[in-house]
Amino acid sequence: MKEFGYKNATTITEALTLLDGQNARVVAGGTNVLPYIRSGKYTDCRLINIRDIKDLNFIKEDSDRITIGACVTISQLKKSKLILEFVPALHQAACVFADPTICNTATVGGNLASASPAADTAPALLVHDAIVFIKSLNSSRSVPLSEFFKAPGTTVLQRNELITHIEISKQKNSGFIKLGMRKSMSISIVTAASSVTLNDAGIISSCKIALGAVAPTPIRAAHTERFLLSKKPDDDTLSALIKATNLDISPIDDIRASADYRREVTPVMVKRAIKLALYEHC
Amino acid sequence: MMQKRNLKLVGNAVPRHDAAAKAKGEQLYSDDWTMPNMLYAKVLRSAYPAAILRGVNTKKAKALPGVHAVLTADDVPLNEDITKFGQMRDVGGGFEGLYKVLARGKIRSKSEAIALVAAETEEIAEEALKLIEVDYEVTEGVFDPREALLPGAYVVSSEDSSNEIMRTQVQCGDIEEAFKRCDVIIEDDYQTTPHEHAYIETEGGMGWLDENGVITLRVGVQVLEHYRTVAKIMGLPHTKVRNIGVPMGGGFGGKEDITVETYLALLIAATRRPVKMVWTREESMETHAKRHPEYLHYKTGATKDGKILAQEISIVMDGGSYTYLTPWVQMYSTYGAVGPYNVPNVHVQSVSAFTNNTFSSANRGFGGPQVNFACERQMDRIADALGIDRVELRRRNLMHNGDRLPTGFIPQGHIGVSEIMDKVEAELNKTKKPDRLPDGRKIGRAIAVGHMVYGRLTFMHDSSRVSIRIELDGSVTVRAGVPDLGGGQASVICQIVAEELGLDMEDVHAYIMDTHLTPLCGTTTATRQLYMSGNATLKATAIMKERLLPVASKLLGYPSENLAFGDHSIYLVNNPAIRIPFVTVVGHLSNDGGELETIAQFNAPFTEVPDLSDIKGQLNPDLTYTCHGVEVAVDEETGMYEILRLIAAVDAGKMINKNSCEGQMEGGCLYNAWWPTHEDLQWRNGITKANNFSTYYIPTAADMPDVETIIMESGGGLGPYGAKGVGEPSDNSIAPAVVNAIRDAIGTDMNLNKMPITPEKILAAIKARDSK
Repeated sequence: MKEFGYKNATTITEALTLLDGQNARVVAGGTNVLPYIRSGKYTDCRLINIRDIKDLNFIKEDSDRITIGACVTISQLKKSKLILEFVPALHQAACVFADPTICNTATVGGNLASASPAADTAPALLVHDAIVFIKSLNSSRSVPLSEFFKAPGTTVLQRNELITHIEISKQKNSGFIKLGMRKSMSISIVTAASSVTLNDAGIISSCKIALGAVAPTPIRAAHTERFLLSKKPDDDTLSALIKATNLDISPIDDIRASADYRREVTPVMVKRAIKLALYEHC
Repeated sequence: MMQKRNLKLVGNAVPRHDAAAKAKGEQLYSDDWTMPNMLYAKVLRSAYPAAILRGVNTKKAKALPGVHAVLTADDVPLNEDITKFGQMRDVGGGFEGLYKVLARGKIRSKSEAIALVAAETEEIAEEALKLIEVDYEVTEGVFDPREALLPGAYVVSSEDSSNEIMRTQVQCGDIEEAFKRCDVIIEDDYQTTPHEHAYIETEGGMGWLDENGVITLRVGVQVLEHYRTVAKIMGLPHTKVRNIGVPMGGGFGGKEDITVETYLALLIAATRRPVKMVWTREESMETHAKRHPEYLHYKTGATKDGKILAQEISIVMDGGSYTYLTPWVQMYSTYGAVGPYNVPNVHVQSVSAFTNNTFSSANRGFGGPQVNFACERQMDRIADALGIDRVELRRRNLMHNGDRLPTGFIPQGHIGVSEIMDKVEAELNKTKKPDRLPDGRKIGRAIAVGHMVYGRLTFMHDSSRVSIRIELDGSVTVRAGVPDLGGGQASVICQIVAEELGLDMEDVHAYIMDTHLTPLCGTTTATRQLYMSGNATLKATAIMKERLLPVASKLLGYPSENLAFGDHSIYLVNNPAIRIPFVTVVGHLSNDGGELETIAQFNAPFTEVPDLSDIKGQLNPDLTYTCHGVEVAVDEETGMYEILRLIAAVDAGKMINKNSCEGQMEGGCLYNAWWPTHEDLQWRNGITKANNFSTYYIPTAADMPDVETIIMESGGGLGPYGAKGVGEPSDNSIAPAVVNAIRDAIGTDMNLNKMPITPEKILAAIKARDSK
């Protein structure tokens, strides 16, 4: 283990000042940073701890939006009644995230900033139209989550920037499902999230599908969404989305599964995510 | 069978002597010891699985401030010796392979140690590793033992001319003639993958040079007797190396091979400072031995009424880079291949070969689970082909008391496999669910049986010694060189002493595993400690009782044969009110000049090394029989499955500690439950792709149901009180039970014979079934 400089920031401004123009890295939960240090991905830099910054740790409700501070832990998401009611997909993602000890320290901001294609909160947040709010010492900006990820491990974030919070829209009919080799402590083979609205005739009037671990970044599944729009979410429809879903994804062979297997099971996961979203309609 | 006796402690769920310390986190493990002035050590491993080592330049590494030693093969007094595993004699016959301390000549795998570093800090030691310049001539290598055995194959070692390690066979009856009389013959290939022990504590320890010039180690290891090898490597008498063993956070066979001991000794001698070495998880998984991957061919023939007449089996074992325990494991695979069945005509051939993979050696079950997997898959398939119930087919062929193994040996212990199978079948059928769960998953069930030896190969001439000393206050110290892996190996000895001398567990103090101070008990391997050291303990207590009884007899005025030990007293059996305190008798014995201390040795049966071209007779003291019942739910859209029920049954002969016995059965069951499907090291041309617990999937608590244990006590074992060993047998029949349950659910045998049986392969089998 390398020796690292370490500074505990207690305010957003202090953190941003420490980050500005320096060879520094943000650490919140540390569940990614420590493995990065061990594997040599991070070397010789200063760690700026932001987990004690109170202004980064909150879950708030407006009329049609929920705002989540970047340092909210996965356990907090899991326990939050607001998330359970208005962002069910995110609640479900938190429930199958890693294991209890990781959940107690890993943060939602960290899960996004690490930009793993398999980040479990990402598909859930994508179907809730998440917007990521970013600050540096001299500026602020916001980016839709769908434009936030650039490549595996890469986002639009600059080295001097910090995610402060994430804004998402309320939607009671959303769902998330994960396929992994274990029920706990498992990096996803495929994840699928959905947010679905039906009209009075039971026809899909709006629909958002997001997928994880089947492309270089977590993605919105545009072909699948178009395929589903104006259809009834019955078994025939859900069994026929294979073609559309396969147009959305570009999976690879990795240590967890082959690309072929991911192509086989992604449509199944989409189907199940939709069923979960519509659970109360069943 | 043992005579019935009223036992107070034996058989109960007695808390282990070390339970409280472990529960409170006070137990010190290998990494928990430090000393002032201590250096940290690291090993440079090979960058390639196959290469010729042209040279090593350590100049830059040595020049790094804070580095105190950088050693290569040239610095090792005796760099090459034979591998020993605590046996009290050299067996010969090809059973002891080469132990090479540091690389020289051909590099045989990525785990090969090239250089050792000791430095002020772990960081400096790591930095120094990067500064060592190694000149490799990279070679092609060979990674499949079947290829390694072909003429003209790449030769793995510089010391041998071929890759063959050992070839052996067992035969009985007339196999050709028997197949002609069979109504159905099932013939197929099976493959098993390497299997990781996945102990929570990686290999490690520390050591120092004591004031008497003794290299003193604190290393958690299953074989304390490796101190002899360390001494030989260092050119020292055996008396100048001491290992004060440390309780281990798991061993499972992975700490049977020598690990850090020699490296520490070399660095201590070079620096004359205390040195610590602890392997990282990745280093541990890439370096230590694995369960042998086996390539098996089974041909099984049966008559239409379900009598198995013939089994012809050939086995190719991947020994990996060095011999280590391969020949011993091979004996178990060869001898256990037909399973606990009466098969009159048998021919088993096996061969093991070097490859450039991580070496293979001991892993809980020791060659048993591989053949058990293939054998029990075959049994279900024979049953299906004949239209006979799968459990019934087994019932018609199982061994009973007096039956012979294919070597002609008649096991002396009770053969209770049919009794436990009946119990598992009844239990599994108690909760018959519909064929599908409400979520659509398909249910499957299966039962598999197994037999597995306890006690070492009898031609090793195994022995164990235990000493007890009674203190003047009536408490007792037991000294035993029993490495404790967490299975309660030491506690059970205390329990026997307390039982025999009529004391409580609290009265017995265990001082264990110190090669200078404890009698050598031999290895904690081969499911042997209860059998060997338990019997030695009984012998030692019998000697002490022989000394105490005449004293008590004189004091009480009754003949010795009418007296018994209990409640801290010696009392008259038919009138327990007539008694004298134990401590009083001890006082008198001491006063009279009697000996309060003794050591006793137990010897297992001894045989000679068998003729490998035709193995006959006894190879092990006895066997333990197991049966596992499994219920699974298979998701037919993803190929994922979940285990809903796990039933683990054994004839334990006699439970000594109920907690420990049940714990072994539960642990063993979980140990191999995911081996066929999830626990895949993903070896690719000598590289271990899954080298940590995020990619090598051992089950978590969330993935497994509670294990339901069924423990039968026939009293028919060779251990104390009629006990049999359960440590390794506990993991023997679970893997085929899981795979056969998946087979039962999906209704096809496709893709279920060759591990790893991934969800992808299960899904492909389901799709192929549906497209028919």
